[in-house]
This record gives sequence, structure tokens and C-alpha cells, in this order.
Amino acid sequence: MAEWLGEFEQIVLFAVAQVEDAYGATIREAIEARTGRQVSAGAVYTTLDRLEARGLVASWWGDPTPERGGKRKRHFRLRAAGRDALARSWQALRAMARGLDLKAAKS
Amino acid sequence: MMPPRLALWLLERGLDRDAAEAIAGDLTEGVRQRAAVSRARAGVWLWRQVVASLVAARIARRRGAVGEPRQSVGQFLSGTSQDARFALRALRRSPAFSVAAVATLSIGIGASAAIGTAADRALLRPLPYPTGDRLVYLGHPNDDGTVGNVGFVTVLDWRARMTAFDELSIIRSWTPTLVAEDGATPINGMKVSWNFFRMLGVQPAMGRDFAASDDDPDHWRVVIISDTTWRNQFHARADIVGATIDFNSRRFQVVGVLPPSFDPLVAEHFFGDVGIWAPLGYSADGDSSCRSCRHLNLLGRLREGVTLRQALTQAATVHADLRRQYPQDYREPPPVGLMLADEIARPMRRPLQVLLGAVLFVLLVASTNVAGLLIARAAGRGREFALRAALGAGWARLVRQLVTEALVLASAAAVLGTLLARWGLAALAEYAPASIPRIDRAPADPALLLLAVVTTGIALVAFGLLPALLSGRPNLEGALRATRQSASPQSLRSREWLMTVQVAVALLLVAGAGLMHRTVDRLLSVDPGFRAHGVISAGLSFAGPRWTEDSAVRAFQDALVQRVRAMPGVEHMAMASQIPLGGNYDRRGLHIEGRTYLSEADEPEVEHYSVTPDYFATMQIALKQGRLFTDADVTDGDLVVLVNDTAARTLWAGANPIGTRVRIGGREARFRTVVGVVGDVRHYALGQPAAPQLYLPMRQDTASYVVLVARVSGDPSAYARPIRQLVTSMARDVPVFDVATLDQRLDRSVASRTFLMFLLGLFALATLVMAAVGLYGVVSQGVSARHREVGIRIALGATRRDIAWLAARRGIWLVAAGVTAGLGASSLAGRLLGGQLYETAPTDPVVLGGAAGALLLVAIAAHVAPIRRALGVDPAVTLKSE
Repeated sequence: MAEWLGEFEQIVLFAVAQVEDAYGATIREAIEARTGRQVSAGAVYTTLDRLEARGLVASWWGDPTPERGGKRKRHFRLRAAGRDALARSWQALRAMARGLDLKAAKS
Repeated sequence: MMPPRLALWLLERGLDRDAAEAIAGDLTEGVRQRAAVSRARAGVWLWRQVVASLVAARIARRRGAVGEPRQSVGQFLSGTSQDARFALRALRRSPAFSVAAVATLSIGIGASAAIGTAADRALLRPLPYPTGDRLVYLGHPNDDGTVGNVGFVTVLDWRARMTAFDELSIIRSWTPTLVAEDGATPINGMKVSWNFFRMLGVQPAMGRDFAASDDDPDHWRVVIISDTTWRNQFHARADIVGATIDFNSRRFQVVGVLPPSFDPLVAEHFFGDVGIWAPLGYSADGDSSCRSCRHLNLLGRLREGVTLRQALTQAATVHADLRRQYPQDYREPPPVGLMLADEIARPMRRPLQVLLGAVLFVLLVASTNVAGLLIARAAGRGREFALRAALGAGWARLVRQLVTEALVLASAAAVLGTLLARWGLAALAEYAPASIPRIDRAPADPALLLLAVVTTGIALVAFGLLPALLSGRPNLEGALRATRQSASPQSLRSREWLMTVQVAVALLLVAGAGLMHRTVDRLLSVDPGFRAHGVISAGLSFAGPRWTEDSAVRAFQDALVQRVRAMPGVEHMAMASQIPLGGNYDRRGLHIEGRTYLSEADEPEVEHYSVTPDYFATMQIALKQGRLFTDADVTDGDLVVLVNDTAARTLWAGANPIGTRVRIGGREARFRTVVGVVGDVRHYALGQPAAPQLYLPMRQDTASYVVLVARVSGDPSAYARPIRQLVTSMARDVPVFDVATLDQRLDRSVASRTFLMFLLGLFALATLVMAAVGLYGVVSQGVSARHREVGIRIALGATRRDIAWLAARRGIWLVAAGVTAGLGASSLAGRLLGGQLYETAPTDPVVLGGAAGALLLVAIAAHVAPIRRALGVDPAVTLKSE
């Protein structure tokens, strides 16, 4: 039985799935641009590390570049298991949200 | 723009290599793009990213998500408890150190929590009433700008015109007499406008609140009592509402009982311990209708959303209007007011602030002192740590160990400090002058205790451990190879630093205590104009139907004078309408015959005393000119008056007042001839010079409230009981109250300063002892560190004086530096004492010199043993041991 994804994990996976040339900076920027929430590079990487450890994403090192101060890029891509997990989470959310009018909901 | 090196370095230290590289690369890219827009913004962004990333990585690591094996909560705890057990063992191994450290810290914690609690209750807590934050104390200004009294009709006008207040309530003291078989007891009560409790937002627990219809000359005989009065005086009887009480043959009905939660703070501040309230019962056309009268206190409640400033602005406008309407009656500047909470805190604000400052210094000295001990210990344990490091303990683990030790010390001190704080507060409540509001209300504040403990813990870590840690990781080989536990120069340096601070602070506190001592000394050596020693005083009041005729009062007073004078041991006996330092005053306008005054309000004010002839002999007030009163100055004789020196000097401007005629108390009063001039007495306080004073013979000016004074041989307090019994035997309905010797009244008048002096002295002593111990430690450590050097020097032929100088040199410099810093700080801090001082400059050379001298003596004492040790070094032994 596959595990469920946390909210931030889902967000990161969505970003990895959609961003071209997905690496730390582009992933973080995509999240900030779409959700409007500030996230730290550290938080993105620790989540990516965790997702990688669970076999949901894969990563590889690129070449060092001068605009990065001579540091290498770490690229990411979605793995099949990751795509499945994301699809399941998304499905679950949509199933739960169906027919809901948040403004009219009991609180 | 490149990220600063520090940022990259931090990332490398805080993250594993790969993560650091990836993040550093990303941030470099990001900061470049942002710097193109704004360098400053880019910088802020970068640092936020770095900090947040480090935190995120740390959290992830603790969760065990990445890399390291997950550490279970159990393991973490077992590590901590292991640390604690280890710390306890280490501390047990050096009991002298542990006891000294815990004792020192607990004094600091206990004292600061106790004083902090007192200050918090007295100065910071909101008033204990639902509407407490809107209550204002309001009135015409006194000469010194403080809030003074108002008259009844004025309040009616204010109430009608000042919309800034939704309630204005008059308060005044009320002492009805409860007459019983065994004598009369004055009850401490308060008369208030009917809306008083409504203004406070307080509802009676039983019965009803006052109604507007109660507050009327014909209907005011209803009372509301406190829960305490109900329980103590009425045995908590259930049918209390509707019950009656007889005061001086007047019958009052109890209409309400306040809830037990009612805090009488506001009553306490103005009139002492009050347990009963009655409506004021004035009417606009009664005795109190005069607009120039000023005899009531006024409280107000600001309308919601109105500020005090706005209210006072409106008050000024209303006052200006009234002044236009009644120019004769409102000559003073506009009304003044302050929040009731500030008014209540006012008397003790400065003393408590000073004490709070002092106690924080005690805490500082205590923590630095123990920090010094910790440094010495850490230095001495270099080998132990090196050994443990060699056996595989991580550096972080060793640091954790040290921190745990500090915290164990602080916790032990916290327990002891809590006890000390409790005792301290109990002692404060017992011995402090009664003017510390709410001191008796609750035990030491746990939040403040916690704060003191945490502060101490932080101070210990900051002062004690950081220097040890910053001096670097232990040099394993070096430490293991070293033959004796010698202190590192760094650790000695940091201790010396702390020492200088301690000396400075100790000097500051000693100087503060010295200044207060000098002040009290100066005050008590002031000549008050009368001789207090050997005199007893007691208040009597003549109220009720039996005493409506002046002749009845006079007859009783005459008889009482005869009877008291006949008591064995009584040398002189007199009665007066008021006495100096009696906590009371009676000022009236003086009209000198032949002079023109614009109005009554323009007449100069004098203090008015009505006295029996023997008053001057009893109080030993000097006659300067003319004659005193005699038994011939009777009701139907010539009307006479005495004035004091100041009155003669200022109101007659050098001319001889004797033979001139004066009138006090308005147009209707008759003129009296001045027959003599007597010496000044200090009426309000020892530190306050005399105002113009005027004496009338009591026979010609009957007083229904008098103070009996008797000069006796032997102990005056022994006469309290016989005098009380005598009065009761003569008239059961005349209460005797406020019995005290004049010496006691003198002491009371300086009580708040004595209190400040005592506590500052105590704190000064504590810091002095701590500084001495600390100094001894530093000098000893210095001598031990130079053990070898001393040995070599002795071997090379150094004299004893050279060696003593070598041992003492450093310490002398330290003390000199500390004393210099302390003197500088004292002259600044002395200003804080400001108003508490009397004829003593904050920079009083004798006090500051004395304080410096005391510290030097302590310093010398601390040097004796280490120097002797240095002199006792045997070069042969020292050199061989290497």
C-alpha cells in the first residue's frame, strides 16, 4: 500500500512534474509564483530528499556554472511511482471536494 | 552580487556537503537576479533563505528523515537524564563550589523575585475593578501641582458640564463611632457619592447598591459593608440586609454587602483600611454650598474611548467658564488629574524602581560570580574533558554536559530562591511602610521566579561557558600531557572582566545605601521645632448628640486635662486640634486688620492650631516674643492669637506683629490680637520647612476633634492604656484612637526612606560579600597560574615584597578599574534616587569616598590568603615538580 503525500509534498511534486529544467531554484520559484507563499530552498530540498528516499523522484547532478558561483545544479524528475502517488492524492482531493460550496459550508 | 562568504560558510556548516552545494548554487543564482532590481532586497532575501534553510534542514534531521539514523524520543531523554545524573555527580564531587554557587544564585533569584513581585503588584498591575483602566483622580491643583481637593457645588457643575466623564464620584473619610459597653471604637469608613460602586463596576453580593435617592441630607443613613466587616463584626449573619447599626446614637441601615472578591485598594489608598461606606448626603444648598470650599476628593470614570488628556482639556474649558462666572472663587490654574492606578502607585514608585534596579544588580553580580566559578572549574577540568574527548565523547556532548551542569545549579538555586522570595515578601509585607499597595495580596509571582531563573541560566551560559567554549576545542595532546591543572590565560581574563563588573556594581549599591543612610541621618537630625522624646499622643473625637453644645465639650476637656495632669509621672499635658507629623492639616485664610485683600481667596493661608495653654510647654515649642496663652484666655476674655516665626517674618514683613489684629475663617469672624511669637514647627514632614502657623486658645475656639499630648517621665508608651481607660471611664462615647508616642510618629515620617536604606544596605552587603569571594577566587587562580614563575623568581632572589606585589598587582588594577567605573556609575545612578535624598548630593564625596574605601578594604581582605600562599612557595619543590 503506497503512502499518502503531505500537502507540501504534493506541491513540490506538482512543481517537479510541470517545470521545465526542474532543479532547486526553478522548483522553488514555481511554487512561490503559483501559491504566493514564501518557501526556503532548504525546505524544498529536504522535501525532495524525502521524496527521493521514497522513490517518488530521481535526481542527478549537472555541471558547475559561473552564474552559480561554480556550484553544480541538482536536477529532478518525477518517477512513475511519484506520478501515481500524485495522481492518487489529486484524485482523492477532487473526490472529497466534489459538490462542496465552501462559502455555504458549515463551520 | 555574490552571496557573502559568511552565508556560504554557514550553509556548509549547517548542511551536508551535497545539500550545501545545491542550495548555495540556487541562492547565488537567485541573489543575482534580485540584485539587478535592488541590492538591499536581494540581501534581505538571501539571509532569510539561509536562515530558513538551516532551520528546515535541522528540523528534517531531528525528524530523522534524511541520512542520520532516527533518534527516538526515548534516546534523547535518556541522553538528557544521563547528562543530568552526570552533572549531579560532578557537582557532588566539589561540594564547596556547589554550595557557594547555589547559595549565591538563590540570593539573587529570591531577592529579585520578591522585589519584582512587590513592584509588579504596586506599580504594574491594573486596578482590580472592571472599569479600573478608566478611573481618574481629579481635582484643583495643589501648590506643588499634585491633585488636590474640590468643593461639593463645583463637582455638581463639573458633573453637568464635563461630558468626558460618565461618572464623577466624591469620596471623603468618615469615622463613625461604635459605642459598646467597654468603650467607644472609631470605625474607619468612607462617604461616597451614590454612584461610587457603579463607577467601579462593582455590584453588592447581597442587598442593593446605593441609589440616587439615598444621597440626600435626609436619607443618607444607609450603609454598604465589606465582606470582611460582615464576617468579623456581624458573624456573617444571613439576615444582614436590613439590619441596623447604631453609631453615636444615630441609626444606620445595612442595605448591601460587597462580594468577597471586592478589593478595597482605592479606599485603602486614600483612607486606610475601610470596611463600611455611606452615601455622602450633601445638598447644593446646605453647609457645603460655598464655591471656595475645597474639602473633598474626587474620582471620575472616563467615558469609553476618551483619553485623560482630552478629559483634562475639557476640564480646563469648564474651569475657565466657571471662573468667568465666579471670578472670586476659582482663582487657581485649571484642574489636574491622573489615572487612579498611577496615583495609587505614586508614593512607592521611585523607591520600588530603585530597589528593582538594585535587585537586578544583585542578580547580575550573583550570576557573574557563579559564572566566574564555572570558568575556573571548566579551566581546571581541561584534562577531564580532553580525556573524555579522547575516549570518544563528541565536543557537542561535552558542551551539553557543561550546559546541563549550569542548569542543574540554576534549578537547585531556583528551589531555594523560591523559598527566599516567599520569606522576603512576607518580611516586606510585615515591615514595609504601609504605603506599598497590594503587597500582602499574593505570594511570589511564579512567572517572575521563572524569569529570574531563566535569566540566571542564560547569564551562566553566556558568561560562564561561552568564554570556555570560544577558547577553542580542547587541545587533546596538550591537555593530556600537562602535568598540573593550570588555568588557561583566556579563562583568567574572562574572570577578571566579570570581577571588574562585580566591584563596580558592589560600589554602586554601597554608595546607594550610603546616600540613603546619610539622608535618614540628616532628616532625623533636623530640628522639628518641638522635642518629641518623652511625649505620648492620642486622638479623641467628640461627635454625637451629647456634644452638640461647645460648652459640654469644653467642660469635658477641662476635666480631662485636670485628670491626666494628676496622673503620676505626667509633667505637662495639653490638647490641640492637630499636632505636627499627625498626618492632618487645617489651613485657613488670614486677614490682617487694616490690609485690603481682593477677596477671601486672596488672603494668605496659614496652618491653624487650637491649643490649650500648656501645649507649648508640653511640645517644648520656643517662645520668641511676647507671651504664651494662660488660663486667663477664656471664652469671654479678650480674643488672642499667637503666630510663628515664619508668619511674623513673611506676613508682617519684619514689622512687629504683636498688638496687631487678625481674623481667620471669613468675614463673620471677629478680630483677635496677636500676643506673642513662637518658634516654627515642621508640620508635614521633617524635610519640609515650616509654613506660616497660627495658634488660638482652645477655650476660644472649641475643637470637636483633638489630639491629647502628655510629656511624661519614663517610657511614654506605658501611658497608652491608662489614658485610654481614663477617657472611657469619663465618657463611654468618646473614642480614643491613633495612640502613639511622638518618637514613633517621627520614625513613621521617615519610614519609607528607612525602608529603602535598609534594603539597599542588605543588597549592598550581599554584593560586597559576593565580590569579595569572587575577587579571592580570581587572585587565587592568578597565583596558582604563576606558581612556577613565583618559584623561579624566588630562586633568582626576589624579595618578599617583589613576590607580594607580583601576586597583588593584577588584583589591585582590577579593583581600581572596578572602583573607577562604579564611581562613575554611582554619580549617574544617584540621580535616580533624586527625590528620596534630603540635603545629600548624589555625588556626596563622603559617601562615595566611604563606599570606595569599603571596597578597597574588602579587596585587601581578599588578597591576604593568596599573597601568603605566594610567599610560601618553595622554589625547590616547584621546580622539581616540572
